[in-house]
Amino acid sequence: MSDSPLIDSLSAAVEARPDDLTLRLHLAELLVGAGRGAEAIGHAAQVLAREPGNETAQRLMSTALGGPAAAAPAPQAGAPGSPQGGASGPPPQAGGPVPAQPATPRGDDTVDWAAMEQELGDIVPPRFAKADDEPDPVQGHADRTFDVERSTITLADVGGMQEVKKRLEVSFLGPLRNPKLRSLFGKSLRGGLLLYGPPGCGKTFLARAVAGEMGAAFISLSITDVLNMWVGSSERNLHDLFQSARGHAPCVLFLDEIDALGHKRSQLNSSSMRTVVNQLLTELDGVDGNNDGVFVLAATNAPWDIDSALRRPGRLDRTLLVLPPDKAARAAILEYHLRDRPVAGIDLGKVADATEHYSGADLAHVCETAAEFAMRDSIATGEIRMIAQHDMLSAAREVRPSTDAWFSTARNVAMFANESGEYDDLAAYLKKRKLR
Amino acid sequence: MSDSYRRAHHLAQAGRYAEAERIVRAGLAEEPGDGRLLTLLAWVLRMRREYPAALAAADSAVAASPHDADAHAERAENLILLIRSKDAADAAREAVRLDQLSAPAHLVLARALAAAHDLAGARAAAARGLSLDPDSAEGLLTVAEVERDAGNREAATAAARSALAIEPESSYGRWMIAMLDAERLHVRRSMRGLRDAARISPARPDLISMTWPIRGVLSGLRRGLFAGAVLVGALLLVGHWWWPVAATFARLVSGVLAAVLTGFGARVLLPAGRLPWRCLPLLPPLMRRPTYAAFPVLALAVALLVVHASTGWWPAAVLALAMAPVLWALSLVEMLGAGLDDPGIRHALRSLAGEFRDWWVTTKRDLRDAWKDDPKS
Repeated sequence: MSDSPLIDSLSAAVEARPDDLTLRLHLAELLVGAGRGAEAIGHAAQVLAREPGNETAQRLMSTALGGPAAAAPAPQAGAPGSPQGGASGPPPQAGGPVPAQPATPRGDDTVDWAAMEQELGDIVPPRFAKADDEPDPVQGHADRTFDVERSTITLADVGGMQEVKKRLEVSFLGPLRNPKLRSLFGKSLRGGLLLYGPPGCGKTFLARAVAGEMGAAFISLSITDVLNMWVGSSERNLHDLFQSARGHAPCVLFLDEIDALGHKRSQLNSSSMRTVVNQLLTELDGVDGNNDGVFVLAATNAPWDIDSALRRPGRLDRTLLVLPPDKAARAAILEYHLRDRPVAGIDLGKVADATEHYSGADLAHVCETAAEFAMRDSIATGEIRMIAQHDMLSAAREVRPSTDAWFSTARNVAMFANESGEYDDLAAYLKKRKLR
Repeated sequence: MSDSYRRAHHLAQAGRYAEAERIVRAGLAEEPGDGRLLTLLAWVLRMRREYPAALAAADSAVAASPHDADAHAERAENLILLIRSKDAADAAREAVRLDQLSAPAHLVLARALAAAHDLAGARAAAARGLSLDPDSAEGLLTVAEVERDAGNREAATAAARSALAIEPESSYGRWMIAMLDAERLHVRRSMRGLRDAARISPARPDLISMTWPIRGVLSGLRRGLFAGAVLVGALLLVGHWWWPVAATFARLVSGVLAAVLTGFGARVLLPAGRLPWRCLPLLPPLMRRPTYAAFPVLALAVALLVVHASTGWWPAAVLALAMAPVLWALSLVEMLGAGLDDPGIRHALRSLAGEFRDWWVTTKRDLRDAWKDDPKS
C-alpha cells in the first residue's frame, strides 16, 4: 500500500490495463514526482520497450535514473506525503553529467516511513481480499516441507515450450480432465511424472504451472528438505509429507532434485539413505494410505542416477524432457527479465537468435550482464544511457550457455543407457543438434 | 559427528559433490580444525578429480588429526593418484599402524604397494584387508587389481567375479572383468562388459577404455610392422650383398607380414563392432588425432609391403620400414594425450617440469658462478 491514493488507484488501473501506455506514462510521472524513481523506471522501460522513440518516456527515464524529482516537471512534486517533501538539492546542469544518485525514497530525520508503514499496516485494510482457506504463498527459503501453496500460474504463463505443453496435456492433464474417457479406456491415474533436463530450464516452474492448471494444492520438497530428511527420522518425515499431501487432495506433490532423495540404492553405502528410498517407494505405491488425488511430479537433472524401482509402472512412470527454451520462450524470458530495466530499441527476436541453447537462468544472466555494461558506460561517461541492443548481444557473447556440460553427460547416457528407449526423446534432440 | 559432516556425506554419496563441498567448506569455516571434515573434503575433491587440492585437504586433515587412520588413508589414496607411490605407501602404512583392524587401511596399502611395484607386499596387504572384511566388494576388487598387476589373470577374474556376486551393480567390477577379457583378446565379451559398466554409470563412462580395440590394434600393428620391416630390410641386405635367394625370402616375409597385420586388425576390430569408433571422436584431441593419423600411415605401410611382395621392388619395403618411426612418434603423442587427460599424471608432469626448471636455474647459476670464479677469465 502506497502513501498516495492517486498513485494507488493509477497503479491498479495500469495493472488492469497493462497495454495503456498513456496511463502508464502518467503513473510514471506521478511516481517521479513523488520521488519514487525506482518504481517509475519499470513503467518507463515498458513504454520504451514498445515505443523506443517516446520522448516523454525517455525524459522520465533519465529523470528517474538521474535522481531528484525536481528535474522533471512533476505535477505532484510537492505532494503531501512525498518522502522527498519537495525537491532538495540543486537540479542537474543541462547538458552536463548527471550524478548517479539513489532513486529510491530516503527517510529523512523527522519521519520514519518504515515504522509508520508498520504502524498503519493493521489499520489500513489490504486492497484485495483473499479466500479464507488460501494460505500465504511460500517465498524464498521459506519453501519448507509441509507448506501448502495454491499455485496461481498456469501453463499459459509458460512462454513458448509448445512441445512440452502438448506432451504434458496428452500424458498427464488430458486423462486427468476427462474422467469418463479415462474410465472408458480403463486408464488409471496412478503414477507420477518425472521432468528431467538441464538445470535452469524451468522444470520447477512447469510443475507449479501444472498444479495451477489443475487447480490443485501444491507441496514442494526441495533439496534442503531432503537433507533434513536424511538427518532426522527419515521414514516418518517422508510419511508425514505424503500424509499432508493426502490431506490436501487434490494436491500436486512436487519432489525436486529427486535424484538426491531416490538415488540408486546400489550406489549408496548409508543404510539411512537406502531406508529413505524404500520409504519413498512405499509411499508412492500408497500401501499405507490412499494416494487418490495426490499427483506426484518430480524433477531432476540426473535421471540416470535415480533408482530404477522408482521408475516402474505406477510410480514415476512417465517422463518428460524439459529442454532449454525455444525461440519464443527465450524472447518471453528476456522480456520478463528486462521488464523493470531501462531499455531502448532491443530486438528480442535477434537476441533470442543469439542465445540458442541458453537456459532460463543463462538468459537472466545475459540481461544482468547487459545491464552491467550499460551501467558501466554510464558511470564512465557520466551520461546515463539505456540498455541497448549491442549490450544484449555483447552479453550474449560473454555468457556461455551453462547447459553444455549437461548435454555432454546426456550424450553418454543416450549412447550407453538407452537400451530400453527411455531416453529416445533425448537421443533425438541430441541427433538434431548433432551432438551424437 | 557434526551436522555439516552428515549432510555433506549424504550429498556426496548421492553424487552431488559440488553441494557437498559447499557444505563441508561452510562447516570448516566454523570449525577449521575438524579433521573429519577435512578428510571428507579431501574425499569429495578426489571424487571431483581435483587431486592436488584433495591432497592439500588430506595434508591438513592429517595435521589436524595425526592419530586418525582415515585421514592418513585418504592422503595415501590421493598420493597414489598423483603418482607418488612411495609416499602413498608410507601414508598407508601409517594408517595401518594407527588402526590395524581397519580393512580399508589395508586395502589402500595394497593399492599403494601395487603402484610402487611391490606386488608381494600388495598381495599380503590385500589378503589381510580381505580377511578383516570378507564380504567387501572393495576388498575383492583390490585383490583383483593386485592380481591383474601381477599378471595372474585367472585369479584376478575370479576375485572380480566374486565382487560382482556381492555387488552386481559395481561398474568397476564389470570394467575390471572387461579389461581382463581384453587382455585375453576376448573382444566381443570385453566390449559387452564395458558397455554394461557404462550403462551402470552412464554419466561417467570410461571412453578411453572403450577404444581399446582401436588403440590395441594400432599398438600391435606398430610393433609387428617394426619387427617385420627390420626383418625384411635385413633379408634385402643379405640378398643384395651375400645371398640373392634372401631377396625372395624378403618378398615372402613382406607378403606374410601384410597378411598377418591385416588379419590381426580384422580379428580385433570386426568383433568390437561400432562402439570403439563411436567413442573415438569423444577422446581428448591429443589422443584422437594421432589415432586417426596412424591408420592411413599403417594402411600405406601394409600396401607398400604388398607391393614389395608382389613386384619385388625393394624401395617399397624400405619405405614401409620408414613408416615405423612415424607410427612410434604418433604413439608417443597419443600417450602424452592420455597422460594429460589424467589430472594425476598431469600434475605429476607439471611437478617434473617444475623440478627440471629449478635444476636448470640452479645449474645455470652454478655455471655462471664457476665462470666468474675462473682465474683465467
